[in-house]
Amino acid sequence: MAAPALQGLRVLDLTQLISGPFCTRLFALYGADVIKIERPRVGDIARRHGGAAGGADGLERSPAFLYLNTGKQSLTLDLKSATGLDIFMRLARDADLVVENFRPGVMDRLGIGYAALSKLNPKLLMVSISNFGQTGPYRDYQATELNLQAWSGIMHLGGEREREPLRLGYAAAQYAAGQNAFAAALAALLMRSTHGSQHVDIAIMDTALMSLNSAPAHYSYNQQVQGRRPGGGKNSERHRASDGYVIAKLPRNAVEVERLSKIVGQPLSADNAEEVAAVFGRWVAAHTKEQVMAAGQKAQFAWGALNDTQEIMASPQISERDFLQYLDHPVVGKLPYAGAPFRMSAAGTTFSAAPTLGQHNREILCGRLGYSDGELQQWAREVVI
Amino acid sequence: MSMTLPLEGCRILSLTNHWAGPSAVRMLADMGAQAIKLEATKRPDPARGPKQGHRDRREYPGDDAGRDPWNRVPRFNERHLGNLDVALDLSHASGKKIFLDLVRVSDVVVENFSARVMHSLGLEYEVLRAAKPDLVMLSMPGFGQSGPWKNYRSFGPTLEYLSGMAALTGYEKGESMPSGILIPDFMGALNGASAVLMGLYHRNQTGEGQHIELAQLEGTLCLLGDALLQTAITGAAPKAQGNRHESFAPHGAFPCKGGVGSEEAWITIAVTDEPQWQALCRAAKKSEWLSEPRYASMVSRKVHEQELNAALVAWTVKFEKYQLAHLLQRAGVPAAPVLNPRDFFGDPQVLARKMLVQVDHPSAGLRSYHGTSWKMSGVPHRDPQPAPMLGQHNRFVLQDILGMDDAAIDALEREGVIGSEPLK
Repeated sequence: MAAPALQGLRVLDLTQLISGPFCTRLFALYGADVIKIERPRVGDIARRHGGAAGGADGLERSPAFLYLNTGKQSLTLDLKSATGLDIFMRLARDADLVVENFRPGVMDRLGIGYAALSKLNPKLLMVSISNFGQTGPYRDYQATELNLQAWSGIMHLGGEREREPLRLGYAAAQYAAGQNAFAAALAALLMRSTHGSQHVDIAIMDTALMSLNSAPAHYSYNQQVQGRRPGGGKNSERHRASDGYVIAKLPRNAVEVERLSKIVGQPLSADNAEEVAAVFGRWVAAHTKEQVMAAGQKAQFAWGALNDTQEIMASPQISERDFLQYLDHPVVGKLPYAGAPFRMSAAGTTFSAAPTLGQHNREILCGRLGYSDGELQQWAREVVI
Repeated sequence: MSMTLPLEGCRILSLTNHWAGPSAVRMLADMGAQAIKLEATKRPDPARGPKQGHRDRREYPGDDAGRDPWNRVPRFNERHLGNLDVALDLSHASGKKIFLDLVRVSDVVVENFSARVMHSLGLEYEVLRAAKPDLVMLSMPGFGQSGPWKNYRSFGPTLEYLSGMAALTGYEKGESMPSGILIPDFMGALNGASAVLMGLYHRNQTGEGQHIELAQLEGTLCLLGDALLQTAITGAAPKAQGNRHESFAPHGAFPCKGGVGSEEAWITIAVTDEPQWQALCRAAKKSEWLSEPRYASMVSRKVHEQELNAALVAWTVKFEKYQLAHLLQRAGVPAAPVLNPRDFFGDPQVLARKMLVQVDHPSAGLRSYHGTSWKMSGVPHRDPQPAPMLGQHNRFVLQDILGMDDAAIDALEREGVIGSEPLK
């Protein structure tokens, strides 16, 4: 396979939880050398999340951590100690990119804010990801995914009109911010040879707002405030097949009804919507989701099916394209991981399992920076690493 | 020379429709690329709506579809800020020739047709590469150029259901709910922009162009990577859990004072540790909650979540959502009002971060759109250019970029190869 596009690029990763790790995961996936710096003995908070975490090897079992940190190296470092800070500075001197998602102000308090680092290394790019951004009156406000989906308006449109606003059951805001930070960092890299160092400021709130697409524009066009749909829009297009539900809009016009009648093998009239619905319902019930989808798609209907994560993982499309990557991890063993979001014809990807806490201390400190085994042992005792 | 925009001097041809593709290109246009959208008068971007206008006039400025409804749709105009527009018939031989001439002087082509369309137009990557060897081409089909679903058509809602995303959202376990905002399209836009930037980076390093494939199903699944892994570990798909959290309480949406209709008022509160819980009790002036054994630990509050939520509601309904959110935030409790699209126009953070910008459009007038969601210290803020009207830049592009003369352009117009009004 061709060399990955970001080979040779050095990324220092001072992030935890979701947004930052997702960003640096993408860097690792496309070939960058990513060193994740974690607090000694504690590590990324996400190591403690999820049903599978805890027990012996408790920090190595969190699904969120394992997924979001594939391909990275873990170096434990106490940034509040003089030695820790000194080691970080040595790494920053020849890094291309620092990504961090501390609360605004923390990097400066640690003495590694943008002003300090860009003076040390004039070609260094820094990406900061935070809940509300590095500026503005909410800069220091706290938020979880639930709060971010609320403040950005995602929840206002989620769920049923008759009930409370409903969050998305996945961390859409934080993931999107990580992806956005990745794109912005690439843009900063593209202009680095002419412009030099700069600081990229990504707010999860700003990013999540974009997911509403034209809702604010709509308001400015005619003062219309969009709201949730009756029933959340979930029931109108759902039909029971033999093994679950398919998602299909019933045909509306004569041409579409004609196409449908060929599928169900029975003449239908666009004037009799009730009969169309009944015949369609009976036909769907006698077929599997996969069969319904195939027949509809062949006739130019964009029909789909309701899957859970287990079903999509087992689907023929996902397996035939080898999207899932089976990676071996010393604690959790071999598991399937979501692969690359896009595939490049002239550049490859690199996949390896997430690091255990401090897994690469020796490699980085002795191998790359030339410290001795004795120093490592002493720092381990002092919990500097 | 010092650049002030990351993609200055980069030209992108956009053969995209609907949401994900256009929004990816808009992000690149915000970064300074010259983006040229190509659509045909016989088949304009469906987001422009029907030629005679949507039956629901609330789609248009001041509920007025005007004489050119296709230029007045907020969803189209949001997604195409900063684009130029050439209405060019690619199925016509001269249209195809013009397109290839444009490819010769462009850096990037982005398309989001379903997998077979570029082939049937005779404009697949190999053909474009022959015209421009270091071209970066991005295809963003629903499912990819291979596999049993490769020719399937998909839209955001299809992908939410197929990917397992909808099955993670719902008020109750076992329920499944679409997002209401089409997350796959939104992620497709961010992914598409990332892919183009990566292709350009690779070209800068190696001089090499390439074809990048973004299967939107796969891009969507990257956002569910932790759920996929959990499925593999536990042998079962995780289920929706409403606004609740598996271990935190209180954690949810609570009604506030003063909401009406689609602008009802809600606040979200998420207590993730003991200091936050104590801060909440103090802010609410409820010392009885602090001494209540049922609420003494996270585990116990989770067990008694229903009673706890009822007690909280009795308190939250006395406040307006913003007032309460600021009160709780200042006390150190993660809390947020549920904003509606009108609220953004008065939100101090949205305004301070220039996340709404006003842009004057020749047909739709002075309206607001999203600003840019990335802030770079070396890139000054600038308001974007308006979305283009159909075929608005036919003459500019053909003349200034391709050097065609007026007579040749007039002839193309007569033959219907270019135009500025939808055919139907």
